[in-house]
Amino acid sequence: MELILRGAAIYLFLLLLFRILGKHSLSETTTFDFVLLLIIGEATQQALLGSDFSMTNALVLITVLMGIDMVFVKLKGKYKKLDRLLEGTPLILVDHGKPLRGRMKEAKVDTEDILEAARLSHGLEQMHQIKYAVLERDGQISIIPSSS
Amino acid sequence: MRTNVERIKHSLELEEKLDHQLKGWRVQKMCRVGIGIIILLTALGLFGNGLLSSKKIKKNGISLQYEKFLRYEKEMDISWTVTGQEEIQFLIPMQYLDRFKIEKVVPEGYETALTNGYVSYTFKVTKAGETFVHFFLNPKKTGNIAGEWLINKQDFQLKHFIYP
Repeated sequence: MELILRGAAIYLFLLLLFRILGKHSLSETTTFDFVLLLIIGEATQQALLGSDFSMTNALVLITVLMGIDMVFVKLKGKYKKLDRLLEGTPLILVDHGKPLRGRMKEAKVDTEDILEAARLSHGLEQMHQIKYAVLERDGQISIIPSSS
Repeated sequence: MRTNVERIKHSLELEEKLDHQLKGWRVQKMCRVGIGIIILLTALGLFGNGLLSSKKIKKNGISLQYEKFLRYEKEMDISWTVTGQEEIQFLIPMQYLDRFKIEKVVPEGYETALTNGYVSYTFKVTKAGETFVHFFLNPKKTGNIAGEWLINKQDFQLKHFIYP
Protein backbone atom coordinates (compact mmCIF):
# COMPACT_ATOMS: atom_id res chain seq x y z
CA MET A 1 0.00 0.00 0.00
CA GLU A 2 2.84 2.37 0.93
CA LEU A 3 4.35 1.84 -2.51
CA ILE A 4 1.11 2.81 -4.23
CA LEU A 5 0.82 5.95 -2.08
CA ARG A 6 4.42 6.89 -2.81
CA GLY A 7 3.92 6.38 -6.54
CA ALA A 8 0.66 8.32 -6.58
CA ALA A 9 2.09 11.20 -4.51
CA ILE A 10 5.13 11.60 -6.76
CA TYR A 11 3.05 11.24 -9.93
CA LEU A 12 0.57 13.91 -8.83
CA PHE A 13 3.28 16.24 -7.55
CA LEU A 14 5.20 16.09 -10.84
CA LEU A 15 1.98 16.51 -12.81
CA LEU A 16 1.13 19.63 -10.82
CA LEU A 17 4.65 21.04 -11.00
CA PHE A 18 4.98 20.66 -14.76
CA ARG A 19 1.51 22.14 -15.23
CA ILE A 20 2.55 25.17 -13.13
CA LEU A 21 5.75 25.62 -15.11
CA GLY A 22 3.68 25.84 -18.27
CA LYS A 23 4.00 24.70 -21.85
CA HIS A 24 6.86 27.02 -22.60
CA SER A 25 9.19 24.90 -20.49
CA LEU A 26 8.72 21.99 -22.89
CA SER A 27 8.75 23.99 -26.10
CA GLU A 28 12.24 25.33 -25.52
CA THR A 29 14.06 22.45 -23.93
CA THR A 30 17.73 23.30 -23.64
CA THR A 31 20.68 21.06 -22.77
CA PHE A 32 20.52 22.35 -19.21
CA ASP A 33 16.82 21.44 -19.02
CA PHE A 34 17.81 17.85 -19.82
CA VAL A 35 20.40 17.95 -17.05
CA LEU A 36 17.74 19.34 -14.72
CA LEU A 37 15.36 16.54 -15.70
CA LEU A 38 18.08 14.00 -14.90
CA ILE A 39 18.57 15.55 -11.46
CA ILE A 40 14.80 15.51 -10.85
CA GLY A 41 14.82 11.84 -11.86
CA GLU A 42 17.59 11.04 -9.40
CA ALA A 43 15.85 12.91 -6.57
CA THR A 44 12.57 11.19 -7.35
CA GLN A 45 14.12 7.72 -7.46
CA GLN A 46 15.10 7.81 -3.79
CA ALA A 47 11.62 8.92 -2.69
CA LEU A 48 9.96 6.28 -4.83
CA LEU A 49 12.11 3.29 -3.94
CA GLY A 50 13.06 4.22 -0.37
CA SER A 51 15.59 1.75 0.99
CA ASP A 52 14.11 -1.19 -0.92
CA PHE A 53 16.19 -1.73 -4.05
CA SER A 54 14.70 -5.12 -4.90
CA MET A 55 13.60 -5.92 -8.42
CA THR A 56 10.10 -6.67 -7.16
CA ASN A 57 9.82 -3.18 -5.70
CA ALA A 58 10.95 -1.60 -8.97
CA LEU A 59 8.59 -3.73 -11.06
CA VAL A 60 5.62 -3.05 -8.77
CA LEU A 61 6.39 0.66 -8.80
CA ILE A 62 6.59 0.81 -12.60
CA THR A 63 3.26 -1.05 -12.79
CA VAL A 64 1.71 1.38 -10.29
CA LEU A 65 2.94 4.44 -12.23
CA MET A 66 1.76 3.01 -15.55
CA GLY A 67 -1.57 2.15 -13.92
CA ILE A 68 -2.06 5.69 -12.60
CA ASP A 69 -1.16 7.05 -16.04
CA MET A 70 -3.66 4.70 -17.68
CA VAL A 71 -6.38 5.88 -15.31
CA PHE A 72 -5.62 9.52 -16.12
CA VAL A 73 -5.64 8.85 -19.87
CA LYS A 74 -9.04 7.17 -19.51
CA LEU A 75 -10.41 10.00 -17.37
CA LYS A 76 -9.08 12.66 -19.73
CA GLY A 77 -10.77 10.90 -22.62
CA LYS A 78 -14.05 10.75 -20.72
CA TYR A 79 -14.07 14.20 -19.11
CA LYS A 80 -13.18 17.10 -21.42
CA LYS A 81 -12.85 19.53 -18.50
CA LEU A 82 -10.21 17.37 -16.82
CA ASP A 83 -8.39 17.06 -20.14
CA ARG A 84 -8.31 20.85 -20.51
CA LEU A 85 -7.24 21.27 -16.90
CA LEU A 86 -4.33 18.86 -17.19
CA GLU A 87 -3.22 19.41 -20.76
CA GLY A 88 -4.30 23.00 -21.37
CA THR A 89 -5.74 24.26 -24.67
CA PRO A 90 -4.06 25.49 -27.88
CA LEU A 91 -3.40 29.22 -28.13
CA ILE A 92 -3.21 31.34 -31.26
CA LEU A 93 -0.13 33.58 -31.15
CA VAL A 94 -0.12 35.12 -34.65
CA ASP A 95 -3.22 36.22 -36.52
CA HIS A 96 -2.75 37.02 -40.23
CA GLY A 97 0.88 38.08 -39.78
CA LYS A 98 0.18 40.11 -36.66
CA PRO A 99 1.88 38.85 -33.47
CA LEU A 100 -0.54 38.87 -30.53
CA ARG A 101 1.83 40.38 -27.96
CA GLY A 102 -0.42 40.02 -24.93
CA ARG A 103 -0.87 36.31 -25.53
CA MET A 104 2.80 35.81 -26.35
CA LYS A 105 3.82 37.55 -23.13
CA GLU A 106 1.53 35.37 -21.03
CA ALA A 107 2.63 32.19 -22.80
CA LYS A 108 6.29 33.30 -22.58
CA VAL A 109 6.88 32.89 -26.29
CA ASP A 110 8.78 35.54 -28.25
CA THR A 111 8.82 36.47 -31.94
CA GLU A 112 12.05 34.54 -32.46
CA ASP A 113 10.41 31.29 -31.30
CA ILE A 114 7.60 31.76 -33.81
CA LEU A 115 9.90 32.69 -36.68
CA GLU A 116 12.10 29.71 -35.87
CA ALA A 117 9.09 27.40 -36.01
CA ALA A 118 8.04 29.05 -39.31
CA ARG A 119 11.50 28.52 -40.81
CA LEU A 120 11.75 24.92 -39.62
CA SER A 121 8.29 23.78 -40.66
CA HIS A 122 7.64 25.77 -43.85
CA GLY A 123 10.84 27.63 -44.73
CA LEU A 124 9.06 30.96 -44.21
CA GLU A 125 11.17 34.08 -44.00
CA GLN A 126 8.94 36.77 -42.52
CA MET A 127 6.09 37.23 -40.06
CA HIS A 128 3.59 38.46 -42.68
CA GLN A 129 3.86 35.09 -44.42
CA ILE A 130 2.29 33.44 -41.38
CA LYS A 131 -1.50 33.21 -41.30
CA TYR A 132 -1.71 31.58 -37.90
CA ALA A 133 0.86 30.44 -35.37
CA VAL A 134 -0.56 28.20 -32.67
CA LEU A 135 1.05 27.16 -29.40
CA GLU A 136 -0.15 23.58 -29.20
CA ARG A 137 -1.00 21.65 -26.03
CA ASP A 138 2.34 19.82 -26.11
CA GLY A 139 4.30 23.10 -26.24
CA GLN A 140 5.11 22.92 -29.98
CA ILE A 141 4.39 25.92 -32.22
CA SER A 142 2.51 25.00 -35.38
CA ILE A 143 2.48 27.34 -38.36
CA ILE A 144 -0.18 27.86 -41.01
CA PRO A 145 1.31 29.86 -43.90
CA SER A 146 -0.63 32.72 -45.47
CA SER A 147 -0.68 31.15 -48.92
CA SER A 148 -2.55 28.04 -47.80
CA MET B 1 -4.00 41.20 -17.35
CA ARG B 2 -7.35 40.50 -19.01
CA THR B 3 -7.24 43.69 -21.12
CA ASN B 4 -3.79 42.94 -22.55
CA VAL B 5 -4.75 39.58 -23.99
CA GLU B 6 -6.20 39.96 -27.48
CA ARG B 7 -9.52 38.37 -28.34
CA ILE B 8 -9.71 37.41 -32.00
CA LYS B 9 -12.02 35.68 -34.44
CA HIS B 10 -10.36 32.95 -36.43
CA SER B 11 -11.20 30.35 -39.01
CA LEU B 12 -9.29 27.51 -37.33
CA GLU B 13 -11.17 24.51 -36.06
CA LEU B 14 -9.72 24.52 -32.57
CA GLU B 15 -11.04 24.94 -29.06
CA GLU B 16 -9.01 27.85 -27.80
CA LYS B 17 -11.04 28.53 -24.62
CA LEU B 18 -9.36 31.86 -23.87
CA ASP B 19 -11.12 32.29 -20.52
CA HIS B 20 -9.73 28.93 -19.44
CA GLN B 21 -6.25 30.10 -20.53
CA LEU B 22 -6.63 33.32 -18.54
CA LYS B 23 -7.65 31.37 -15.45
CA GLY B 24 -4.75 28.99 -15.99
CA TRP B 25 -2.22 31.83 -16.20
CA ARG B 26 -3.63 33.38 -13.01
CA VAL B 27 -3.33 30.06 -11.17
CA GLN B 28 0.19 29.57 -12.56
CA LYS B 29 1.22 32.99 -11.23
CA MET B 30 -0.20 32.21 -7.79
CA CYS B 31 1.53 28.84 -7.77
CA ARG B 32 4.84 30.47 -8.70
CA VAL B 33 4.46 32.75 -5.68
CA GLY B 34 3.66 29.60 -3.67
CA ILE B 35 6.86 27.94 -4.92
CA GLY B 36 8.82 31.02 -3.86
CA ILE B 37 7.26 30.92 -0.39
CA ILE B 38 8.03 27.19 -0.04
CA ILE B 39 11.66 27.79 -1.03
CA LEU B 40 11.90 30.62 1.52
CA LEU B 41 10.34 28.52 4.28
CA THR B 42 12.64 25.63 3.39
CA ALA B 43 15.62 27.96 3.77
CA LEU B 44 14.24 29.03 7.14
CA GLY B 45 13.96 25.41 8.24
CA LEU B 46 10.33 24.37 7.84
CA PHE B 47 11.52 20.98 6.62
CA GLY B 48 14.41 20.74 9.08
CA ASN B 49 17.85 22.27 9.65
CA GLY B 50 17.10 25.94 10.10
CA LEU B 51 15.79 28.71 12.31
CA LEU B 52 12.22 27.42 12.43
CA SER B 53 13.33 23.89 13.24
CA SER B 54 16.20 24.29 15.67
CA LYS B 55 15.11 24.16 19.29
CA LYS B 56 17.26 24.90 22.33
CA ILE B 57 16.28 24.35 25.97
CA LYS B 58 18.45 25.17 28.97
CA LYS B 59 17.57 24.14 32.53
CA ASN B 60 19.71 23.91 35.69
CA GLY B 61 23.04 23.23 34.02
CA ILE B 62 21.61 20.95 31.35
CA SER B 63 21.13 22.17 27.82
CA LEU B 64 19.43 20.43 24.96
CA GLN B 65 19.51 21.09 21.25
CA TYR B 66 17.33 19.26 18.74
CA GLU B 67 15.41 19.61 15.50
CA LYS B 68 11.66 20.07 15.68
CA PHE B 69 10.98 19.23 12.05
CA LEU B 70 12.34 15.93 10.85
CA ARG B 71 12.15 13.90 7.69
CA TYR B 72 11.38 10.20 7.41
CA GLU B 73 14.58 8.14 7.60
CA LYS B 74 16.78 11.24 7.83
CA GLU B 75 19.10 10.82 10.80
CA MET B 76 18.97 13.57 13.42
CA ASP B 77 21.04 14.50 16.44
CA ILE B 78 19.66 15.24 19.88
CA SER B 79 22.58 16.80 21.67
CA TRP B 80 22.88 17.37 25.40
CA THR B 81 25.37 19.36 27.40
CA VAL B 82 25.43 18.50 31.09
CA THR B 83 27.55 20.49 33.54
CA GLY B 84 28.88 19.40 36.96
CA GLN B 85 27.31 15.93 37.30
CA GLU B 86 29.20 12.77 38.23
CA GLU B 87 26.55 10.46 36.91
CA ILE B 88 24.17 11.30 34.09
CA GLN B 89 21.05 9.25 33.62
CA PHE B 90 18.81 9.68 30.60
CA LEU B 91 15.34 8.17 30.77
CA ILE B 92 13.69 8.04 27.36
CA PRO B 93 10.02 7.01 27.07
CA MET B 94 9.56 3.78 25.11
CA GLN B 95 6.55 5.33 23.35
CA TYR B 96 8.86 8.02 21.99
CA LEU B 97 11.49 5.52 20.91
CA ASP B 98 8.84 3.49 19.10
CA ARG B 99 8.98 6.15 16.36
CA PHE B 100 12.77 6.05 16.02
CA LYS B 101 15.67 3.72 15.49
CA ILE B 102 18.66 4.58 17.67
CA GLU B 103 21.59 4.68 15.27
CA LYS B 104 24.32 5.72 17.66
CA VAL B 105 24.87 7.16 21.13
CA VAL B 106 28.05 9.17 21.68
CA PRO B 107 30.06 8.65 23.91
CA GLU B 108 29.75 4.87 23.87
CA GLY B 109 30.62 3.91 27.46
CA TYR B 110 27.15 3.73 28.94
CA GLU B 111 24.85 1.30 30.74
CA THR B 112 21.35 0.64 29.52
CA ALA B 113 18.31 -0.73 31.30
CA LEU B 114 14.56 -0.90 30.88
CA THR B 115 12.62 0.71 33.71
CA ASN B 116 8.92 1.39 33.99
CA GLY B 117 8.20 2.37 30.38
CA TYR B 118 11.56 4.07 29.93
CA VAL B 119 14.88 3.09 28.44
CA SER B 120 17.68 4.36 30.62
CA TYR B 121 21.17 5.34 29.54
CA THR B 122 23.60 5.98 32.38
CA PHE B 123 26.99 7.62 31.94
CA LYS B 124 29.66 7.75 34.64
CA VAL B 125 31.66 10.97 34.63
CA THR B 126 35.08 10.80 36.30
CA LYS B 127 35.85 14.50 36.20
CA ALA B 128 32.67 16.49 36.57
CA GLY B 129 32.90 19.27 34.01
CA GLU B 130 31.00 19.87 30.82
CA THR B 131 29.82 16.61 29.25
CA PHE B 132 28.43 16.30 25.76
CA VAL B 133 26.08 13.46 24.90
CA HIS B 134 24.63 12.87 21.43
CA PHE B 135 21.73 10.62 20.50
CA PHE B 136 21.56 9.96 16.77
CA LEU B 137 18.05 8.84 15.94
CA ASN B 138 16.46 7.82 12.67
CA PRO B 139 12.71 8.56 12.30
CA LYS B 140 10.79 5.44 11.29
CA LYS B 141 7.24 6.76 11.46
CA THR B 142 5.69 9.99 10.25
CA GLY B 143 3.49 12.58 11.99
CA ASN B 144 3.55 14.35 15.32
CA ILE B 145 5.54 12.93 18.21
CA ALA B 146 6.13 14.27 21.69
CA GLY B 147 8.05 12.72 24.54
CA GLU B 148 9.30 13.72 27.96
CA TRP B 149 12.92 12.79 28.57
CA LEU B 150 14.19 12.72 32.14
CA ILE B 151 17.79 13.69 32.72
CA ASN B 152 18.89 13.21 36.30
CA LYS B 153 15.18 13.51 37.18
CA GLN B 154 14.73 16.77 35.31
CA ASP B 155 12.10 16.65 32.62
CA PHE B 156 12.59 17.92 29.10
CA GLN B 157 9.68 17.92 26.66
CA LEU B 158 10.69 17.12 23.08
CA LYS B 159 8.24 17.69 20.25
CA HIS B 160 8.77 16.76 16.61
CA PHE B 161 6.93 16.63 13.37
CA ILE B 162 8.20 13.95 11.04
CA TYR B 163 7.55 14.62 7.35
CA PRO B 164 6.91 11.64 5.08
